[in-house]
Amino acid sequence: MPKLIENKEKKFTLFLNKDRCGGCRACIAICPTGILELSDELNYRIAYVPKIKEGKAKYCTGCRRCEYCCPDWCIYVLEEEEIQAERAKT
Amino acid sequence: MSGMGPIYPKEKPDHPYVQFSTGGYLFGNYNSLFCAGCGYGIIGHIFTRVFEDEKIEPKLFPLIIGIGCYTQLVTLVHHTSQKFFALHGRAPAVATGMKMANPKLKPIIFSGDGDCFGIGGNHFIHMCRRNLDCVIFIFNNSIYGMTGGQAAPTTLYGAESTTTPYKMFENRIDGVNLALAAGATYIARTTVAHPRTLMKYFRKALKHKGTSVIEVITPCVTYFGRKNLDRLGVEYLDIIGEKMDNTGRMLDWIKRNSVRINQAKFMTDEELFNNYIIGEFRYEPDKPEYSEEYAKIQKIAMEEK
Amino acid sequence: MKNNKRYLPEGKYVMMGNVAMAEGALAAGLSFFGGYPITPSTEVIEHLSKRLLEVGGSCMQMEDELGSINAVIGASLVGAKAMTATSGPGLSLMVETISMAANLEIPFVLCDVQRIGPGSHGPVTAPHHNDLGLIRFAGHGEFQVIALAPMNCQELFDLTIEAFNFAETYRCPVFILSDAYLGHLHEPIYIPPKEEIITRVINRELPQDYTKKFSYKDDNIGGYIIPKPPIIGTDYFPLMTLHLPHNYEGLPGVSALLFMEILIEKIKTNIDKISITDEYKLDDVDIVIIAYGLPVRACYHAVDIARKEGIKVGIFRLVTVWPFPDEKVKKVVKNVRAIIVPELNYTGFIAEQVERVTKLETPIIKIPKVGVLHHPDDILKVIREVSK
Repeated sequence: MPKLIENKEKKFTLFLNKDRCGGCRACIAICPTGILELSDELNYRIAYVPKIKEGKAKYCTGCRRCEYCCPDWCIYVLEEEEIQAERAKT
Repeated sequence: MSGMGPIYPKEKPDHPYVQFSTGGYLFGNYNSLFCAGCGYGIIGHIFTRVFEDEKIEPKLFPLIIGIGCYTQLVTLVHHTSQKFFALHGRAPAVATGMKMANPKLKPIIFSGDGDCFGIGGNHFIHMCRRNLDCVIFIFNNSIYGMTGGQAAPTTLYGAESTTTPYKMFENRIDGVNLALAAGATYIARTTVAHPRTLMKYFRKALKHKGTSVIEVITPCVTYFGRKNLDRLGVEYLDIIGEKMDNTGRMLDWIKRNSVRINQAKFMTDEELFNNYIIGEFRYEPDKPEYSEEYAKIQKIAMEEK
Repeated sequence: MKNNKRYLPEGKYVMMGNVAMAEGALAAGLSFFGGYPITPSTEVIEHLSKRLLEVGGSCMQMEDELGSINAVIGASLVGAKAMTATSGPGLSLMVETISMAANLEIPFVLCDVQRIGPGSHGPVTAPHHNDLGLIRFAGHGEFQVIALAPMNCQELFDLTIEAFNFAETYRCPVFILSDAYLGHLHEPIYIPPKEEIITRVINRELPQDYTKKFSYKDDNIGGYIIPKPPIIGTDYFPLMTLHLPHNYEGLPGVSALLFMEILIEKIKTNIDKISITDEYKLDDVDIVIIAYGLPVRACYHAVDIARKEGIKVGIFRLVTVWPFPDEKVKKVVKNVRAIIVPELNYTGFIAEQVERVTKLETPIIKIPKVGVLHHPDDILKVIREVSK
């Protein structure tokens, strides 16, 4: 489960479900800090998957705009407690 | 519904709201069937998120879906919401029947711009006139998407579509003014590029007693974006735009073309040409709601000797 | 607080046809009416606007016929017994929704007060049994409907209760074929006591078995099971309500051919329970009159006179006009010299069905009339010619 960004101080992690991405690039457009860009890696749906620009990981504030605007629900932010709760459940 | 889409191995920790969507609830891990860049996936996500966070009683909010690309939302909305597919444009009339037969319900309607202003215009106007307690979403992607990109009543001036190969020249319907004139009591317009305001409006509409009209501007990349320049309607600035062939460029075009209400007051009509004015246009919570007034009359009728 | 204004006190009343039909609907448990004013069925919505509110129901005058039939569908989905009343032009607008309701097996009753023929002008208060052609195939796609044809105000009251029972059990569109004269006719009718009416009515309840929501073919019984109609707001509602060939759960899983078979055979196999017919002096006959609706009343008089003159003639009356009872008609016309079919239209929809059933072995004489009722002498003249 590739973690795009692991932000220790603000205790949130940006996840990306690579195979579900449809390659629509909505997240790239809507990110206020513009830290996402297209990678040249193809996924199960033959689409280019977004990735973080070089050295821009620390600018991510966890505002979840990309999570809201993703039509296939594959990029999302999880707080620390949520991750523990999720692991405890499964 | 043919082809439920590729099913992937379940990833841990997964998107928090996938298991609440109908497809996720049935198949565990599921993605939408919309074209790349369509705005409906965002709306399905926001509907499921509000449905889940608000902890509302799902049986009291039946979902009536019209005919259009958004019928595919049935696999994305919350799995406990009870969904009914109305005919093209007739969703407001079905909602009236449901509300009057069981006043405890509050129908939520998914409708498109062609579905609501085109074929279903008469039912929409009269539902707003009666101020029936329900929420109607109007997804305005200014094109008939499901049938392959024909011009809709809300297609922008100068836009190209399969039925307007020589540029659309008709005037377009402004949904908000139509709802204002018809008398709905909570009218707002927002775009898919402002998902948080859409959630705020949806939560407010759920609590509002009366007709809530929420027009949502969504991008349709496949049939509208690919064929039109992102300088649509502002050619007088003689900047040659390029085709909006991916959702990023289309979302930027929507954000650039959406103007807040207060800002629109100071702009001339020429500047507002082909722009969307977003915000809350009317909120009158104390206006009498139709089924409550009807209940009063029923009480009088039942007591009369 | 349910008052008991729903049932009129027992006794004799003089009532207009439309009003008697409305009272019949109330007795059957009507709680939602969606309609639009159209001559000659306006009195129904006028009467129900007052009476339906007295029993706690709601009566909506919608913006057009499309709105009213869709409101009826919405109400029926939520568990209310719902009906609408209209005439020819309104029925033509409702046809798409009837087809959708037949696909999703949403029960409702539609009273069609028929008026003169195509178009919207002309003498709108004159009867013309022309909508049967449309009602049999009311809407795109293949499905089966039930059409009842009352002949007087008393039957308008009784058959409406039957219509709601058919709608609840067979979950298909049910039509009441009234017409302009019958709708505006004032006649004495007898309303039975409340206890007797209640025994006749099938109420809408939730079933025990929540798994099956739509009709399906049961192979070991070889028949068609029609579950109770699902209700929004309860757990008994399908996952999907798709207007495409669906299985008992509403999901696509049944071939279109089998789905059409289910929609049609679920009515055809129960035809003996659905088909209501009436006979008059049919014991030893040479000539049979087959008719439905108002023309039957003229036939009674004609048959009485003819019997006095020694002509063996009798009436076989169709109350359930559609589906057409093939077996019953075959039995009746087995060794008969001639069949007379007086109908209030030109093409003779029932005459065609009789020709199909008898395969033209016996001569069929149509007495077409439009906008004017049959006079007993018209029928008597034909009986005398045929009996020579």
